[in-house]
Amino acid sequence: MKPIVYEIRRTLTSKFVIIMMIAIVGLSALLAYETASTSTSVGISSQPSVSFGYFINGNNLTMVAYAHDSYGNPVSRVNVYYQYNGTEYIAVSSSNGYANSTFPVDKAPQILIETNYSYRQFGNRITSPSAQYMVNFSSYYSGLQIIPDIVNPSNTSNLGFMVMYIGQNGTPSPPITIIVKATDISSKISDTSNFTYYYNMSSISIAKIYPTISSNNRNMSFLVSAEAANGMPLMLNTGIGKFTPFIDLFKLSIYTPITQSRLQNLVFSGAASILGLFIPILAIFVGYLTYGKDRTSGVLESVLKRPVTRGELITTRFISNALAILIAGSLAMIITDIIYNHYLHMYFSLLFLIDLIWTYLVEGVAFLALVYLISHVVKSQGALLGAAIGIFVVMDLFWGIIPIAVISALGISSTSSSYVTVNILFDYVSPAGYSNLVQSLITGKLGSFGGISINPSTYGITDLALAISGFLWMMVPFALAYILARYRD
Amino acid sequence: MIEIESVTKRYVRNSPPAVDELNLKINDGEVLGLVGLNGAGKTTTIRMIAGILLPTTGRIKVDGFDVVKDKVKATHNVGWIPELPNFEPNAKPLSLMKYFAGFYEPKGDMNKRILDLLDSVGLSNDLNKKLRDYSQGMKKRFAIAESLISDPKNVLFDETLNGLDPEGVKFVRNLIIDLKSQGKGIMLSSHILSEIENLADKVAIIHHGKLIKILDRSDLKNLGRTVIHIEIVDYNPSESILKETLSQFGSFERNDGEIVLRDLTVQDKDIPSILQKLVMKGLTVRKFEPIGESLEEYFFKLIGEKK
Repeated sequence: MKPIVYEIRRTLTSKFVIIMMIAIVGLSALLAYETASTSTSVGISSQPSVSFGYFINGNNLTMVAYAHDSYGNPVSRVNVYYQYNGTEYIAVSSSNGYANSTFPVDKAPQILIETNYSYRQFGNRITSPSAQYMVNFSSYYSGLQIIPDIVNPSNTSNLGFMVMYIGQNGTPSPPITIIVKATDISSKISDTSNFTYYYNMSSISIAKIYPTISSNNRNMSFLVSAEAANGMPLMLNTGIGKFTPFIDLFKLSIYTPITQSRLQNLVFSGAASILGLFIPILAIFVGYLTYGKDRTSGVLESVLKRPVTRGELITTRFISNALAILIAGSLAMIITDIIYNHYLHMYFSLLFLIDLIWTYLVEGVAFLALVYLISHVVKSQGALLGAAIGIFVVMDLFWGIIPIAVISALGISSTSSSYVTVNILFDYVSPAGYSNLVQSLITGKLGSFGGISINPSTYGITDLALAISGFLWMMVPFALAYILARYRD
Repeated sequence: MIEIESVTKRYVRNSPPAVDELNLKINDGEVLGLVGLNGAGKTTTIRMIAGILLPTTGRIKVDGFDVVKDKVKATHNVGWIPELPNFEPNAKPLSLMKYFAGFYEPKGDMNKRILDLLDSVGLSNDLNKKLRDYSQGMKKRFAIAESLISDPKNVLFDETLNGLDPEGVKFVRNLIIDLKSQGKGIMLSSHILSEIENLADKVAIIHHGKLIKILDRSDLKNLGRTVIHIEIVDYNPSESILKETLSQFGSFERNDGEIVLRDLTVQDKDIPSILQKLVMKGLTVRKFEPIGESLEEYFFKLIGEKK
């Protein structure tokens, strides 16, 4: 077995690293989920909705429920309850969002089905209020329904709706054309010359439509109608036992488009804070457990007596430890990205993703290198552990508080330029401040106390400065440790 | 072959050296016993040869390769069994052996060699245990196996006999004889001087880091010269009577009520005449024990002189 392979395997399979990776990835994912799914800044509900339809076959009624999110995407594991004649029927939505239930019904011109649904969020079961769905026996299937307020994930429209079609015995639609006409709200007169949209579709059960509306007609409402292939108008099911030729829609005034900038702010206020705390813990203690402890306890001698130089030995262990940090940070960021995309329908830009991974690699490797350096300065395991804990407490855990104390002691006003300078200076002095510097560079705000807008380059925060600072933080402590390893016992 | 040339080791600057201008040579197929009190510099010397410690001055060469400048080549042919072996506690013996084997160029079926070595030291039934669950004796057996993984040309035993059961001592003794017969250079440090006396071709006595004496095989043979331990009953003979009686037979000294007569001037067959002379002087002899002088006696005599 190649020694480097063993070192990497040993690092990655140690209990501590596994626990820390689970903690880092799990907590980042949880924070991403929490910020993305409940974010009010984008005005999109995180709660699922259920749209209903039906078809009748003989004496059996099949209630069709489509559980979906605000983007019209299917949501699984939503319990849908139907009550008819005192009997409750339950269906659970599958991965395609459908929760259908078939049960016998009396023949009557109209029958009323009580519906409601429940789902789990953060471990709690949330139940919707009951609603009534009217089945009209004049039609053996619900046909075409328009479900309003569906958000466009690509942010190109302020108008969105979903078309749901349930044909005879549940069949999908024949060829139909959906027509959207902008109308003046007061006169209800459609302005067909400028704002009419046609959508041809066939064999659909669910379809999402996002008309592109210009700024000129954003104050208008929109009438949605449908035609069959032969040009005959189709009636739209209202869900209350009635059919109508038009449905009136309004623009999605609550919709705020998600942008990279908003996404980045969500990351900095969420997952980044967890990584800023946990990556240094991982780095410090993985360095202690796999190198420092081995060195001070004498275990490393069993390796050093092999045909390997002292430099190779420290470098091999350092690389395997750094790899664990890189994997933990990358996994956390990639999973965070996937979760944000799931809820907000936007991935991080590649550059931002690389920036984040680089940032936490620098933080982790810098702390790791500091532990390696101390391992060659102190002689006992206890002293090393104490120093490692000290580094974590002072340079990471309380690093955000120390500048406040210094600023307060120096009587610096929070509105002065010195305030910003001192904060940035502290961010350069500890690896824990590196993420604040990157945040300042990306957002143009003072990282650790977000809110104060600054011009980063005025305070020495530039791409080049951060690249040099990152390399120095990773390389200088390790280079010193390397020199001590080579030339001292 | 191991050559130690004017090696000095200081742990702290301006403090007395742990090893002081040491010169030693271990030829192939030779067993060098390293003898000294605690703190004499035995372990420091061995750790420098193994590449663990850096000499302050001087040079150590293993098969012609400098352990500092050419560590990879030098340590390729050194096996070191430390006094208190210390391994990664959560590792299992097989995986750790495979890791160690990865540092060497593969020679044949390494997996088989690893299993054979672990079997030879009696650990084949303990392969599923983690090393933290091994006793000190088991760790030492494991250390022997892992030190021989590359079939090194030179093997360093640092107090290896300590902590081993009688079977283990016998195993190590036979192992050393076997390694010697394979032409390997062996350094053996031990407090059990009788073992060194039996096994070593040369014995280096060091004290306060300095080499005091090197005894070769013929010197060791001469260590067997007879010494007589005498006890007289109810009588504390004066120095003059003892001198008058015993000085003609050799040099004597008193030691806790016992009289030790060494450097005999008579042959072994004439030793009874010494007893006869004592009796004729009216002394009641309770103990009259002619024995060969051991390395231990010689060592303490030498160290005593140095003090």
